[in-house]
Amino acid sequence: MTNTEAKFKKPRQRLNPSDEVLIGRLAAGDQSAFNEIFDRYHRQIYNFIAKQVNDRESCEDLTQEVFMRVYKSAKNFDTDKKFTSWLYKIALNEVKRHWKRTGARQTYSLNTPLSNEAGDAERADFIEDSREVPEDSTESELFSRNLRQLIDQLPDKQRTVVLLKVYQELTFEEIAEICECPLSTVLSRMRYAVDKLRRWLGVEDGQAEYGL
Amino acid sequence: MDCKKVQKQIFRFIYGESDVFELRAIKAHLEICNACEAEHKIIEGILVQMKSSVPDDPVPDGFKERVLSQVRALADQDP
Repeated sequence: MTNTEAKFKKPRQRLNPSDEVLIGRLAAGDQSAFNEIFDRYHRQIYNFIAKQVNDRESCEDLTQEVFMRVYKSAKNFDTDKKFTSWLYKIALNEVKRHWKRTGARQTYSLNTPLSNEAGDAERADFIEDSREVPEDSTESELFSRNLRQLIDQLPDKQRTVVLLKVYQELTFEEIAEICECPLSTVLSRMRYAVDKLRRWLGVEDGQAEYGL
Repeated sequence: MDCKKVQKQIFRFIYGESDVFELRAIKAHLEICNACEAEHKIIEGILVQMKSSVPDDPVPDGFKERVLSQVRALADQDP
């Protein structure tokens, strides 16, 4: 196995019973199947949502709403589809509905909101600003904070791909199903997002910074 | 496989999602192309940093119980 494979290729655990069996049981009225589904996925869904909304209360409410929808819609689940794709699609729709309800996508307390296609100069200024607070932050905390804010400023479609791939560890095929677009589009969005982050972080060809 | 195709498929390669033919072709290309290998390492480094720098948010205490009680209430309303 190469270094790359060791870092990124995470063997998928085969779940028994499968998610699809559980959702079938739930559709047939088995409440314990819901508990099992909830135990398997509530942390992932909570975290997927937490990276897209600003406050804990909204995150809890939206996560709860996702599982309520799973409960209510179990009978509508298309058994030809993968359960996780269906689940994340529900979560993504809940987040979009939330943005619509609240007027706009929430961001991580940026001093200067930037447009989606912000230029490099603006981005560099923003990074400089955010390094100034809080005073007792360590280098890695500042980097983490900056990175989180930069990801937050990606265009929605690119950010969704990044969140589903890097943090939820779904396959690109699953992401294509969730986003309802071709695999090639998902790969392009990933490329644009990483190229942007790379420029914003100042990682140039052959001279990686931040300990890369 | 040429540089353009390798760059197009590099994310699938990094995440171990290439099919066996792509995998073989990309590996062979990276061994002979310094530019693509450098690019591969940079992207891989950024992805590692992205993953490790933004930790998961812990689920609050009592959250599970709250959701399950809502579901029980829903089930009682609409058996």
